[in-house]
Amino acid sequence: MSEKILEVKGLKKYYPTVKAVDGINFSIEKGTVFTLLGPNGAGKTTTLEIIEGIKNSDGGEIEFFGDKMKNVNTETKEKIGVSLQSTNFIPHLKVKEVFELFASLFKRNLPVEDVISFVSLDEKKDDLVEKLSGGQKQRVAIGCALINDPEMVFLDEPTTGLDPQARRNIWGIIEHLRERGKTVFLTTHYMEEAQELSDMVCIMDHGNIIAMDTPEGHIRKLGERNYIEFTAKLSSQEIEKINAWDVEEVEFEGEKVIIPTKDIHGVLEKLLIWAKEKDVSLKDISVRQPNLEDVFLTLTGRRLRD
Amino acid sequence: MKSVLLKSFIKSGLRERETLFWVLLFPLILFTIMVLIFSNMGGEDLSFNMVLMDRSGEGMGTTVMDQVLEGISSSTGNKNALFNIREMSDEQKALELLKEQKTDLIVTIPEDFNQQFNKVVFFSKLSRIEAEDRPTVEIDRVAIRDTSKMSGDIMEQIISQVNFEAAKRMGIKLPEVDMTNRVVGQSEEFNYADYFFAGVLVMAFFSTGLFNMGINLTLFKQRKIFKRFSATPLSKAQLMSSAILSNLFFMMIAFGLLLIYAKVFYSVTWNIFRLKSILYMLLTAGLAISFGYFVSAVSKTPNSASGFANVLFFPMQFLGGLYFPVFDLSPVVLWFVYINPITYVAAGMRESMGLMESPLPNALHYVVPLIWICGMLLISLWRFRWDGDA
Repeated sequence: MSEKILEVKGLKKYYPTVKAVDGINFSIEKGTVFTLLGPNGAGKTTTLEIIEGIKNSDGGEIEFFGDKMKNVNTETKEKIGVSLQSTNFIPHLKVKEVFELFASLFKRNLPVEDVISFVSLDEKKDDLVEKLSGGQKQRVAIGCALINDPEMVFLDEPTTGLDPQARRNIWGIIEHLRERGKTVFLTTHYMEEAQELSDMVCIMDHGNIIAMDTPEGHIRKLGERNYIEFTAKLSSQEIEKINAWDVEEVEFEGEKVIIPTKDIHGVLEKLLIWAKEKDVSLKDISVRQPNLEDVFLTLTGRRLRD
Repeated sequence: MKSVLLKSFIKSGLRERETLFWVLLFPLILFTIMVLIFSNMGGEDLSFNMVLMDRSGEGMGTTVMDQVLEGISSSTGNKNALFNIREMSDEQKALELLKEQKTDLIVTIPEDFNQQFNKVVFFSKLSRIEAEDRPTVEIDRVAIRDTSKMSGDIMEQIISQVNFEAAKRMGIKLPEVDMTNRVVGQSEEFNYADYFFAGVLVMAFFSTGLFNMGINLTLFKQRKIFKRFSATPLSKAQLMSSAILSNLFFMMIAFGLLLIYAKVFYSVTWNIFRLKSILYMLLTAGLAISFGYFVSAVSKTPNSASGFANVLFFPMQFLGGLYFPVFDLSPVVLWFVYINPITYVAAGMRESMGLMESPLPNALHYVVPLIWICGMLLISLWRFRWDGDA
């Protein structure tokens, strides 16, 4: 039986005008990547900050490494690593100096040079942090989260705003952490990131957890559904016509048309024949399997980045 | 306090050009400018009130004195006149005017002035003049009032002019007229460098506290740097004490540079090893730190912190007696002078330098700044948001 590293029961954080976290429950197993998904304002960063010991909760219980607590204590902070959404450090410090500073804050720490190598910043170690690119700064932030050789690492939107290459680099680091048996708590806006990296995905909205499963488990719950996507300008009559086929409600993203259906062959054939007869141009037509974005849309009625 | 964190704050500050300029270099520049401007003072708008009590009657000495005083009196229509001279005969009333700050000094020409003057003229030909034979003009002034001290200094120059006029008219060896001073409190040579040293030192400390500490703490809040530290075992007390100590370090560097510069180039005489001097420096540093903390506690962005610090500091420094005397100001602004903690540390520091006696009660030099320190710290502790959230 796998070991629970963190268990959260009835966690609450209320502000005067909003229930940011409204009595959530979840647990995380050791050595896994746990991802918390949700739109802005869902309560995921507040949840994360309570578990990281930055904020105090208004209720509930946290069981960390077998110790029950209402709020995270200093002893627990020694065993966790944190990378916040924003990656700022004391200005005018060099990369190596930032690592040395964070190393000095913990009782147990890894050699600074090793961590610098792990996040591939050997050539930049004598550069000022503010001179680094966004991806490099993010690697400094992750390196600082790893300096105390933590058992659990919290990464809050580590790839937001990064280019695809930098994002892939961060994914590589997270994969590497999992291989080394570290537990990773991740939040992200990117569905493909969650799908690629996560062992468990928790979907949060309006301060509540609305679903929790493996990525495959979430998708499986959608049933046999597939998606036909294309770009075209369609009239309301034409949309009604498509809706009359064996499809679920047609969705739109600007001019992009998304047709969810369990009968992919039948609907695709009808679509092509209809387009030829009506002389409708279907651009960028593709067929895809469901993903976490579809899961989120089905569960919340809106897209993650709405 | 965490030594690595303290070193990091100091490194960060030393690598920032703005910090180096405003905290370390600017006080030296300001000090130089102030001393250069005010040491050459004697400008067009400067004038003093003087009461003349002439008890000498008529005679050669009185004629010479009168003619010299006419040259400096505004009553003759002289636009550049230094003195507004009012003649009086009642010594008691004249002294009351001096105490009430309605006059800056009293010049008394004694009854035997002409007799002594004539004696000197006669004996000068025989070269038998003794120092005690010289005619004497008496001056009454108030040591703790700058205008009173300055006018007294100027009067010394005028007496020299009397000597010169007398010699010129008689074509004889100079009959010297002496001046005696009756001064309330300490009487020392006024040194502008000493005067501005205290003011610029207080300015340097406040500049570090309000601008370096105030703006940096706001920046760290806004950029979530404190928030990041709060996810580590580092306590808030360790974090804040390191930030405070790094600013104290900059204050000490600023002080050291200013002291060396002022001693080497302007012969400032301050003995820093007096207990009172050290106490006032600590009090000033405490005030500057607490005001900096307050600025960061009520500001959301570095820009707003900078604006707020400026709004606070400008009236505080100019109406705190850092660069000119403030106790003679009009009642409209005098209330601000008395609630301003800088007034107390500046006056106290000058007193500890032996430069001038403070007109304020001794206990207030400590009590008022301490009340401000406590108040600012309490508000700051209540208002400061470590995570940078509203």
